Amino acid sequence: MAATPRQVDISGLKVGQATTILVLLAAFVLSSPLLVLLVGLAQLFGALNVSFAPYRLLYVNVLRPAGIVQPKVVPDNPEPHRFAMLVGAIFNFAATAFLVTGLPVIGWVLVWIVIVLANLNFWLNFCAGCWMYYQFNRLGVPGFTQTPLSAR
Amino acid sequence: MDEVILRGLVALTLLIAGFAIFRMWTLRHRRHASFVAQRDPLLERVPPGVPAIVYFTTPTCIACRSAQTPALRQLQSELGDGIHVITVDAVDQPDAASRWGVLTAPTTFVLDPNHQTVAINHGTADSALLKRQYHAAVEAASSFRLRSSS
Repeated sequence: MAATPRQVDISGLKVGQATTILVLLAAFVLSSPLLVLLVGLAQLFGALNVSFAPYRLLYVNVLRPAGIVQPKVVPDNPEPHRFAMLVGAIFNFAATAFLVTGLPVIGWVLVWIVIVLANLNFWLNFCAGCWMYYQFNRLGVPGFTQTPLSAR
Repeated sequence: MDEVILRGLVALTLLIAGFAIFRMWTLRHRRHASFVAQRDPLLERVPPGVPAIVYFTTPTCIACRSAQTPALRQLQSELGDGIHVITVDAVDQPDAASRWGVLTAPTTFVLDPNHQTVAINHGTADSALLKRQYHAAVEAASSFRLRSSS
Protein backbone atom coordinates (compact mmCIF):
# COMPACT_ATOMS: atom_id res chain seq x y z
CA MET A 1 0.00 0.00 0.00
CA ALA A 2 1.33 3.41 -0.90
CA ALA A 3 2.29 5.70 1.97
CA THR A 4 0.07 8.70 2.53
CA PRO A 5 1.81 11.77 1.12
CA ARG A 6 3.00 14.12 3.85
CA GLN A 7 1.41 17.50 3.28
CA VAL A 8 0.87 20.81 5.02
CA ASP A 9 -1.72 23.47 4.24
CA ILE A 10 0.36 26.65 4.31
CA SER A 11 -2.77 28.83 4.38
CA GLY A 12 -3.90 27.20 7.62
CA LEU A 13 -0.53 27.94 9.18
CA LYS A 14 -0.64 31.56 7.95
CA VAL A 15 -4.07 32.02 9.53
CA GLY A 16 -2.65 30.82 12.85
CA GLN A 17 0.34 33.16 12.58
CA ALA A 18 -1.79 36.18 11.66
CA THR A 19 -4.26 35.46 14.48
CA THR A 20 -1.41 35.05 16.95
CA ILE A 21 0.07 38.42 15.94
CA LEU A 22 -3.24 40.28 16.13
CA VAL A 23 -4.42 38.78 19.42
CA LEU A 24 -1.03 39.24 21.11
CA LEU A 25 -0.95 42.89 19.98
CA ALA A 26 -4.45 43.31 21.44
CA ALA A 27 -3.24 41.60 24.63
CA PHE A 28 -0.37 44.08 24.92
CA VAL A 29 -2.54 47.13 24.26
CA LEU A 30 -5.24 45.99 26.69
CA SER A 31 -2.65 44.66 29.17
CA SER A 32 -4.49 41.36 29.24
CA PRO A 33 -2.67 38.23 30.45
CA LEU A 34 -5.90 36.35 29.70
CA LEU A 35 -5.50 36.96 25.96
CA VAL A 36 -1.88 35.79 26.14
CA LEU A 37 -3.06 32.64 27.91
CA LEU A 38 -5.76 32.08 25.26
CA VAL A 39 -3.20 32.37 22.44
CA GLY A 40 -0.97 29.91 24.32
CA LEU A 41 -3.87 27.46 24.62
CA ALA A 42 -4.77 27.88 20.93
CA GLN A 43 -1.16 27.14 20.00
CA LEU A 44 -1.02 24.16 22.37
CA PHE A 45 -4.20 22.66 20.85
CA GLY A 46 -2.75 23.30 17.39
CA ALA A 47 0.48 21.56 18.39
CA LEU A 48 -1.51 18.59 19.71
CA ASN A 49 -3.44 18.54 16.40
CA VAL A 50 -6.83 18.19 18.11
CA SER A 51 -9.99 18.68 16.09
CA PHE A 52 -11.20 21.58 18.27
CA ALA A 53 -8.00 23.65 17.93
CA PRO A 54 -9.28 27.27 17.63
CA TYR A 55 -7.03 28.24 14.70
CA ARG A 56 -8.13 25.16 12.78
CA LEU A 57 -11.82 25.89 13.52
CA LEU A 58 -11.38 29.50 12.35
CA TYR A 59 -9.69 28.40 9.14
CA VAL A 60 -11.77 25.33 8.30
CA ASN A 61 -15.20 26.63 9.36
CA VAL A 62 -15.01 30.36 8.65
CA LEU A 63 -12.20 31.68 6.45
CA ARG A 64 -11.89 28.83 3.93
CA PRO A 65 -15.65 28.34 3.27
CA ALA A 66 -16.05 32.12 2.92
CA GLY A 67 -13.32 32.14 0.29
CA ILE A 68 -11.30 34.69 2.28
CA VAL A 69 -8.33 32.31 2.34
CA GLN A 70 -7.60 29.72 -0.36
CA PRO A 71 -5.99 26.40 0.62
CA LYS A 72 -2.34 25.99 -0.40
CA VAL A 73 -1.30 22.41 0.24
CA VAL A 74 2.39 21.59 -0.22
CA PRO A 75 4.49 18.49 0.49
CA ASP A 76 6.10 18.96 3.91
CA ASN A 77 6.36 17.40 7.37
CA PRO A 78 3.66 18.68 9.73
CA GLU A 79 5.66 17.83 12.88
CA PRO A 80 8.14 20.75 12.73
CA HIS A 81 5.25 23.21 12.33
CA ARG A 82 3.46 21.65 15.29
CA PHE A 83 6.67 21.86 17.30
CA ALA A 84 6.91 25.55 16.38
CA MET A 85 3.39 26.05 17.76
CA LEU A 86 4.39 24.23 20.94
CA VAL A 87 7.39 26.55 21.37
CA GLY A 88 5.08 29.54 20.92
CA ALA A 89 2.67 28.08 23.47
CA ILE A 90 5.48 27.59 26.02
CA PHE A 91 6.59 31.21 25.53
CA ASN A 92 3.04 32.44 26.00
CA PHE A 93 2.44 30.30 29.09
CA ALA A 94 5.70 31.56 30.59
CA ALA A 95 4.70 35.12 29.68
CA THR A 96 1.33 34.65 31.37
CA ALA A 97 3.03 33.35 34.50
CA PHE A 98 5.36 36.37 34.62
CA LEU A 99 2.49 38.78 33.97
CA VAL A 100 0.29 37.46 36.78
CA THR A 101 3.15 37.19 39.27
CA GLY A 102 4.18 40.82 39.04
CA LEU A 103 7.01 40.62 36.49
CA PRO A 104 5.31 42.34 33.54
CA VAL A 105 8.49 43.45 31.76
CA ILE A 106 9.74 39.88 31.32
CA GLY A 107 6.23 38.75 30.38
CA TRP A 108 5.78 41.36 27.66
CA VAL A 109 9.30 40.77 26.32
CA LEU A 110 8.38 37.09 25.83
CA VAL A 111 5.13 38.11 24.15
CA TRP A 112 7.00 40.42 21.77
CA ILE A 113 9.48 37.64 20.96
CA VAL A 114 6.50 35.52 19.85
CA ILE A 115 5.12 38.47 17.84
CA VAL A 116 8.47 38.96 16.08
CA LEU A 117 8.89 35.24 15.32
CA ALA A 118 5.30 34.97 14.06
CA ASN A 119 5.96 37.96 11.78
CA LEU A 120 9.15 36.36 10.45
CA ASN A 121 7.17 33.24 9.65
CA PHE A 122 4.22 35.11 8.16
CA TRP A 123 6.16 37.55 5.95
CA LEU A 124 9.49 35.80 5.27
CA ASN A 125 8.49 32.13 5.63
CA PHE A 126 11.23 31.64 8.21
CA CYS A 127 9.91 29.16 10.78
CA ALA A 128 12.27 29.34 13.77
CA GLY A 129 10.56 26.40 15.50
CA CYS A 130 10.93 24.25 12.36
CA TRP A 131 14.59 25.19 12.17
CA MET A 132 15.00 24.13 15.84
CA TYR A 133 13.18 20.86 15.13
CA TYR A 134 15.52 19.91 12.27
CA GLN A 135 18.58 20.86 14.35
CA PHE A 136 17.36 18.54 17.12
CA ASN A 137 16.79 15.85 14.47
CA ARG A 138 20.37 16.25 13.21
CA LEU A 139 21.66 16.01 16.79
CA GLY A 140 19.70 12.78 17.30
CA VAL A 141 17.47 14.10 20.09
CA PRO A 142 14.78 11.44 20.79
CA GLY A 143 11.33 12.33 19.47
CA PHE A 144 12.57 14.52 16.63
CA THR A 145 12.26 11.78 14.06
CA GLN A 146 11.36 13.59 10.85
CA THR A 147 14.09 14.57 8.42
CA PRO A 148 13.54 17.05 5.58
CA LEU A 149 11.52 15.12 2.97
CA SER A 150 14.00 14.99 0.12
CA ALA A 151 16.87 13.97 2.41
CA ARG A 152 15.43 10.45 2.67
CA MET B 1 -8.10 54.56 29.13
CA ASP B 2 -4.95 56.67 29.07
CA GLU B 3 -2.90 53.55 29.68
CA VAL B 4 -4.58 51.74 26.78
CA ILE B 5 -3.74 54.65 24.46
CA LEU B 6 -0.17 54.72 25.75
CA ARG B 7 0.26 50.98 25.23
CA GLY B 8 -1.32 51.29 21.81
CA LEU B 9 1.21 53.97 20.92
CA VAL B 10 4.05 51.79 22.23
CA ALA B 11 2.80 48.86 20.13
CA LEU B 12 2.45 51.10 17.08
CA THR B 13 5.93 52.52 17.61
CA LEU B 14 7.42 49.03 17.92
CA LEU B 15 5.60 47.87 14.79
CA ILE B 16 6.72 50.91 12.80
CA ALA B 17 10.27 50.48 14.11
CA GLY B 18 10.18 46.79 13.13
CA PHE B 19 8.88 47.66 9.67
CA ALA B 20 11.51 50.40 9.27
CA ILE B 21 14.31 48.04 10.32
CA PHE B 22 13.00 45.45 7.87
CA ARG B 23 12.85 48.02 5.03
CA MET B 24 16.34 49.29 5.81
CA TRP B 25 17.68 45.76 5.92
CA THR B 26 15.95 44.97 2.59
CA LEU B 27 17.40 48.09 0.90
CA ARG B 28 20.84 47.37 2.28
CA HIS B 29 20.61 43.77 1.12
CA ARG B 30 19.60 44.96 -2.38
CA ARG B 31 22.52 47.38 -2.54
CA HIS B 32 24.88 44.67 -1.31
CA ALA B 33 23.54 42.19 -3.90
CA SER B 34 23.97 44.81 -6.66
CA PHE B 35 27.56 45.36 -5.55
CA VAL B 36 28.26 41.60 -5.47
CA ALA B 37 26.60 41.07 -8.88
CA GLN B 38 29.04 43.42 -10.61
CA ARG B 39 31.93 41.00 -10.17
CA ASP B 40 30.47 37.68 -9.04
CA PRO B 41 31.66 34.56 -10.92
CA LEU B 42 28.09 33.24 -10.91
CA LEU B 43 27.18 35.87 -13.51
CA GLU B 44 30.13 35.27 -15.82
CA ARG B 45 28.01 33.43 -18.39
CA VAL B 46 25.16 35.93 -18.45
CA PRO B 47 25.13 37.69 -21.84
CA PRO B 48 25.60 41.45 -21.55
CA GLY B 49 22.39 43.47 -21.37
CA VAL B 50 20.21 40.52 -20.37
CA PRO B 51 18.23 40.57 -17.09
CA ALA B 52 19.01 37.66 -14.79
CA ILE B 53 17.54 35.81 -11.84
CA VAL B 54 19.92 34.23 -9.33
CA TYR B 55 18.01 31.40 -7.68
CA PHE B 56 19.33 29.82 -4.46
CA THR B 57 18.01 26.39 -3.59
CA THR B 58 19.01 23.40 -1.43
CA PRO B 59 18.55 19.64 -1.91
CA THR B 60 16.12 19.49 1.04
CA CYS B 61 14.00 22.48 0.00
CA ILE B 62 10.51 21.16 -0.74
CA ALA B 63 9.11 24.53 -1.80
CA CYS B 64 11.95 24.87 -4.32
CA ARG B 65 11.03 21.63 -6.07
CA SER B 66 7.27 21.93 -5.83
CA ALA B 67 6.83 25.65 -6.53
CA GLN B 68 9.92 27.78 -7.21
CA THR B 69 11.59 25.70 -9.91
CA PRO B 70 8.32 25.24 -11.89
CA ALA B 71 7.63 29.00 -11.61
CA LEU B 72 11.06 29.82 -12.99
CA ARG B 73 10.67 27.25 -15.78
CA GLN B 74 7.36 28.82 -16.74
CA LEU B 75 8.92 32.30 -16.74
CA GLN B 76 11.83 31.12 -18.86
CA SER B 77 9.51 29.40 -21.34
CA GLU B 78 7.54 32.66 -21.71
CA LEU B 79 10.52 34.98 -21.99
CA GLY B 80 13.02 32.72 -23.75
CA ASP B 81 16.38 34.44 -24.17
CA GLY B 82 14.99 37.57 -22.54
CA ILE B 83 15.96 36.27 -19.12
CA HIS B 84 18.90 34.27 -17.80
CA VAL B 85 18.26 32.06 -14.75
CA ILE B 86 21.21 30.93 -12.66
CA THR B 87 20.41 28.14 -10.21
CA VAL B 88 22.75 27.83 -7.24
CA ASP B 89 22.75 24.98 -4.73
CA ALA B 90 23.48 26.76 -1.45
CA VAL B 91 24.75 23.51 0.11
CA ASP B 92 27.18 22.88 -2.74
CA GLN B 93 28.24 26.53 -2.87
CA PRO B 94 28.03 27.91 0.68
CA ASP B 95 30.47 30.71 -0.21
CA ALA B 96 28.12 31.97 -2.91
CA ALA B 97 25.18 31.87 -0.48
CA SER B 98 27.26 33.81 2.04
CA ARG B 99 28.40 36.40 -0.54
CA TRP B 100 24.80 37.07 -1.56
CA GLY B 101 23.50 37.09 2.03
CA VAL B 102 21.07 34.20 1.56
CA LEU B 103 19.13 33.25 4.71
CA THR B 104 16.52 30.84 3.40
CA ALA B 105 15.71 28.65 0.39
CA PRO B 106 14.29 29.46 -2.01
CA THR B 107 15.68 32.96 -2.44
CA THR B 108 15.58 34.70 -5.81
CA PHE B 109 17.47 37.84 -6.83
CA VAL B 110 16.03 39.67 -9.83
CA LEU B 111 18.70 41.66 -11.67
CA ASP B 112 18.24 44.26 -14.38
CA PRO B 113 20.36 44.23 -17.58
CA ASN B 114 23.05 46.25 -15.73
CA HIS B 115 23.03 43.64 -12.95
CA GLN B 116 21.49 46.00 -10.43
CA THR B 117 19.22 44.12 -8.02
CA VAL B 118 15.61 45.25 -8.39
CA ALA B 119 14.01 42.66 -6.10
CA ILE B 120 14.87 39.96 -3.60
CA ASN B 121 12.29 37.29 -2.82
CA HIS B 122 12.76 35.44 0.48
CA GLY B 123 10.62 32.35 0.07
CA THR B 124 8.60 31.26 -2.94
CA ALA B 125 7.83 33.80 -5.66
CA ASP B 126 5.25 32.73 -8.25
CA SER B 127 5.74 33.30 -11.96
CA ALA B 128 3.34 36.29 -12.03
CA LEU B 129 5.37 38.11 -9.36
CA LEU B 130 8.65 37.25 -11.08
CA LYS B 131 7.25 38.52 -14.37
CA ARG B 132 6.24 41.84 -12.77
CA GLN B 133 9.72 42.14 -11.27
CA TYR B 134 11.28 41.28 -14.63
CA HIS B 135 9.32 44.06 -16.35
CA ALA B 136 10.28 46.47 -13.55
CA ALA B 137 13.91 45.49 -14.10
CA VAL B 138 13.69 46.11 -17.85
CA GLU B 139 11.90 49.44 -17.36
CA ALA B 140 14.38 50.57 -14.71
CA ALA B 141 17.28 49.84 -17.04
CA SER B 142 15.70 51.60 -20.04
CA SER B 143 14.81 54.73 -18.03
CA PHE B 144 18.38 54.75 -16.69
CA ARG B 145 19.67 54.62 -20.30
CA LEU B 146 17.34 57.48 -21.29
CA ARG B 147 18.51 59.61 -18.37
CA SER B 148 22.15 58.84 -19.19
CA SER B 149 21.78 59.73 -22.88
CA SER B 150 19.84 63.01 -22.32
